Amino acid sequence: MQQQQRPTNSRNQITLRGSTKIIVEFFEYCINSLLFQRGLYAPEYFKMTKKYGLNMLVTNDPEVKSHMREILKQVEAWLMACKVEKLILAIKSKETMTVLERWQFDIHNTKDLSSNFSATTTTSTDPFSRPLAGQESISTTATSSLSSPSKPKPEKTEKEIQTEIQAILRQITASVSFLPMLDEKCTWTILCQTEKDAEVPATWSDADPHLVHNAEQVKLRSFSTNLHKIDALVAYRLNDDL
Amino acid sequence: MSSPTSDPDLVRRFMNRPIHSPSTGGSNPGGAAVVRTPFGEKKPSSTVTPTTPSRLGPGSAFQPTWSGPENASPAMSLVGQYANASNRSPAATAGEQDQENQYPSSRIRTRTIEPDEYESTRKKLRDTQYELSSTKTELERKIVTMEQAARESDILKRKLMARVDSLESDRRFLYEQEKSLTKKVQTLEEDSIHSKTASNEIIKNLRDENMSIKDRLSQLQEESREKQSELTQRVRTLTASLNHQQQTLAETQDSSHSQSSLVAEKHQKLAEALDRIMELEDQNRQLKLNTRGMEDVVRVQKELQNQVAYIKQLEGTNRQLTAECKHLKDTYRNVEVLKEEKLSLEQKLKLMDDLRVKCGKFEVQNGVLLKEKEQWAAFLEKSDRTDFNSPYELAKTVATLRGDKTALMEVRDEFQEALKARDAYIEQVEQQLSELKTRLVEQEEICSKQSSIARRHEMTKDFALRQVESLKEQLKSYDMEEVQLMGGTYENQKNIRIEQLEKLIQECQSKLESMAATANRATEESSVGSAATLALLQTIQDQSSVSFNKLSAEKQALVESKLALHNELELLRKENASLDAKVLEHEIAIGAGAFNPAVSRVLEIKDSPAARYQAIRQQMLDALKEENAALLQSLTDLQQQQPSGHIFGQQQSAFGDHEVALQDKNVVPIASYNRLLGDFKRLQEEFADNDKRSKRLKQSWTLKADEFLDAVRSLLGYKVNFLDNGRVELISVYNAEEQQSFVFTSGQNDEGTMQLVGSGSQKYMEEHKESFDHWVNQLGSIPAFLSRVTLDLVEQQAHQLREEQQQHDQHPPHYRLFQSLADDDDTQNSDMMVDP
Repeated sequence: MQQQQRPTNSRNQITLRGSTKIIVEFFEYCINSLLFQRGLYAPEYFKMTKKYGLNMLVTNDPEVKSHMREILKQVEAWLMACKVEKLILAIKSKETMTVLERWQFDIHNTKDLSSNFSATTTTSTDPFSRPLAGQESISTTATSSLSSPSKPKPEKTEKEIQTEIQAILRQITASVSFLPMLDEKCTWTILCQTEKDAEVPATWSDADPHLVHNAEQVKLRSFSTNLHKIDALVAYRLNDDL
Repeated sequence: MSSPTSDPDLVRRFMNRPIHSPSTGGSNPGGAAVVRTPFGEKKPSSTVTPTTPSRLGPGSAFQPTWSGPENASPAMSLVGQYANASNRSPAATAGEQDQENQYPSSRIRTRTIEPDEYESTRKKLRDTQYELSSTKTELERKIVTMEQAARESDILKRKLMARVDSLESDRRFLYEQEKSLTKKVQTLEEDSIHSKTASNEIIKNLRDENMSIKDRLSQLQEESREKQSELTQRVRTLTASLNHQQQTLAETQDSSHSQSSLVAEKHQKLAEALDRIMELEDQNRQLKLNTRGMEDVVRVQKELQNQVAYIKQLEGTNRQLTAECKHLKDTYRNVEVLKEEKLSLEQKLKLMDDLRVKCGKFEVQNGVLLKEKEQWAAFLEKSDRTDFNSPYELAKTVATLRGDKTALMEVRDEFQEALKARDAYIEQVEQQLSELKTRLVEQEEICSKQSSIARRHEMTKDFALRQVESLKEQLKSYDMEEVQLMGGTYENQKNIRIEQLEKLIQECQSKLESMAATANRATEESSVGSAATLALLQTIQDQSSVSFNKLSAEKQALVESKLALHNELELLRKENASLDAKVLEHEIAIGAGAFNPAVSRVLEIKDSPAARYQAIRQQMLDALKEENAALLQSLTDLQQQQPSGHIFGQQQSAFGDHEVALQDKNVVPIASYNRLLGDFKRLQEEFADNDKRSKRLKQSWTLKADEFLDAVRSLLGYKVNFLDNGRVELISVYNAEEQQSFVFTSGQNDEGTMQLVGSGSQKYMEEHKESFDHWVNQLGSIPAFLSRVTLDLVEQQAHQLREEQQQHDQHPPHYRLFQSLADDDDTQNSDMMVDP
């Protein structure tokens, strides 16, 4: 049995690597695109490249580039260890340091999801925690109903994934039309929500979750590889006087 | 060694030659006897040299051919001599020879022939010889003339050939020279173009550099000026504020000084006045002593009065001032008190602010709690139990309700089970009932059957009795017959038989009776069974009515429990809705960034842009705080120095200015300088950033501008150079020379129109003067003029190309050169068209 499992394990490893690569690449282009579209840097900081069949703008500022590379390297490590839950791009006002926009990318591990949740459902016996357990069980049924048909589903081709990514990037580009104008000077930061037991290098530290107050939120499209599912969501601060 | 017989052939051949030669025109007289010169013309071979025919006489023309037969044999030498003797007339000899050649043996034989015959033959021979010689000479003359003509044509030909050669060599030389010259010209042109482009590029680069350096310089100058002004402004504002403070200080000092000085002055004046009074009194005394006239006294008295009044006035003012001073002191004290009060109030205010913040927080909390409570209440509204005070109670009731519910559920389950059991029992009973009913029916059927059988039996019995009667009568009749007919013997036998029959009848009767009895018994039994079943039914009915009552009660209970359950369901539905709302809320919270800290953690890279910016701001804030503290310190120092100045009073005031000058040194604390330095550094960084940005912008602009110029050049056919003073130079891409350009300048007041102001070369300008007049001066369109020029140039080029092609067609050897030139031209053109 073990001998039979080994090749599938190694194959999983390979697909995990491939999936991680796809996701990290997506993050790179997506964050770059957001930095351009939300006007965090001047347009001359970017140059155009062709990716996913779209014209993507990628920064050519060496400082920003190296910073991004450092972040994505760590994200990749966490993805390989399946420890990362969310990646968040927070856009803050320079003047008041309040969070104006929060681009959140939920990362779900679609392969070992069902086993995790079944463990949590069995432990809930306290009557007062029943609502919570019920909620969870609802989500598990939802996810299991999602994942169970996906199991016999044939594996996705790279082209399909690319099409999904293209759609999500298009939607992000289009979302600029409904987001409020950022008419003050802004800065940005990237947050990573990981599991409690993730290994954290010295360059990273625990941080404020950068909540958006008085937030309006819009769910964006999602895309999935054979191992991961990425849900995108943008929460933005509504103007107080509106 | 040729045989004599072959001679005539040879002669014929030789004689045939001149006949053939004119027709061939010396092109190829003998086939193999012609060789080609290196130049290509045909020359006769050396074996038949052109000079030999002229040197040979008509007689010796055959010498070479005759040499063979002469040396052939002794016999032939005789003939030869004879031939020589007769050679006086060439014709005769020729004929003779011919004949001799033809018939040598017969001639030897002719010596024996008679002289007449001989004579006649000789005559004949001579005639023939003569004829022969005449024709021969004629032929030879012809040959000679022909040969001469051939020679002449040869010479002519050779001359022509020589000329052709010389011309050819000349041509070749010229061609070489031309080639080398064109090459040189080409290289020179290329060199010049290269050097021009290089120099142009250098000039352009230098100009650009110059511009950029100038820009940079001006920017830097401006920047530095701005910085300087800013700094000076800052210093000025700071010193101004300081001055202002000092001024206010001085003013307050002055006011107190002035007041004290006023008081001192008054005192002095008072002392002076007293002195004067003393003096005047002395004078008075003296005057009194002197007793000089009353006028003086009166005057003195008047003066005295005046003085006294003045003194009184002074004393009044003095009193007033002291009162005022006292009042001021009081007020000052009051002010102090007020200041303290103010400070305390400020503190209180601060506390109040804190309280307010706290209050705000509490309000928010209260709002949240109220919301929560509302949620709780909303959940509980319709169950008419809104009197919960705490969630604990609520939870408790919920828990109890849950317990009740589970108990009720159990009860319900029990009831359901009981119901089920009842149902089963009823079913069983009903089944029994139906069974019994069927049995009853069966029994009844059997009964009716039995009765019918009994009836039949009775009928058969009656029938049998009647039979018996008839039989008895028969028997009687028979007996009578017997008695009458036979008498006695048969009687016994007959009696036995009768007895037997009677027995049989009796048996039958008994059997019938038994059967009737059984039938009766059966009917009796059936009646008894029906009664039993009836009793059974009665009991069953009783039982069922009891159970029905029981069941209806149960049903009632179940309905009640159902209602309760329904209520519970409603409750749960409501709970579900509230939970859904909660889920939505949670989702929103998660969307806004909330997370469960027990399970996961949010991480951020330390060196993020936001963190960097925050650090800078923190640094700025720290520097400002430090500066503020230092400034406050210096202010308190100044304030401390001031009261000490008060003590020393006026003496100190003399040194006041000096002190201020000394204090100036400490007025600007080091912290503010540090902050300014930090600001400066930050501004410098910002400046560098801006510089980088502007550089990037410039790069992209130049790229765009180049692209634009390229597009203009490839679409409109003009290379555009922007010169100084807003002038624009246009060079057509079809121009061979760089100088052939038009220079435009924008019209007066820069209204968007252009004027032609000059050209790279005057000649070029003059060339296009006509079309300029037409298109620009008459029709007023510069683009049309430029297009005209482009069209002209293109046509010119095409024409040139065509001409060159024609030339090339005329001179095939030139083809390659032309082709190569044309190719070069083409490539150049295409290069110019496509790429700079």
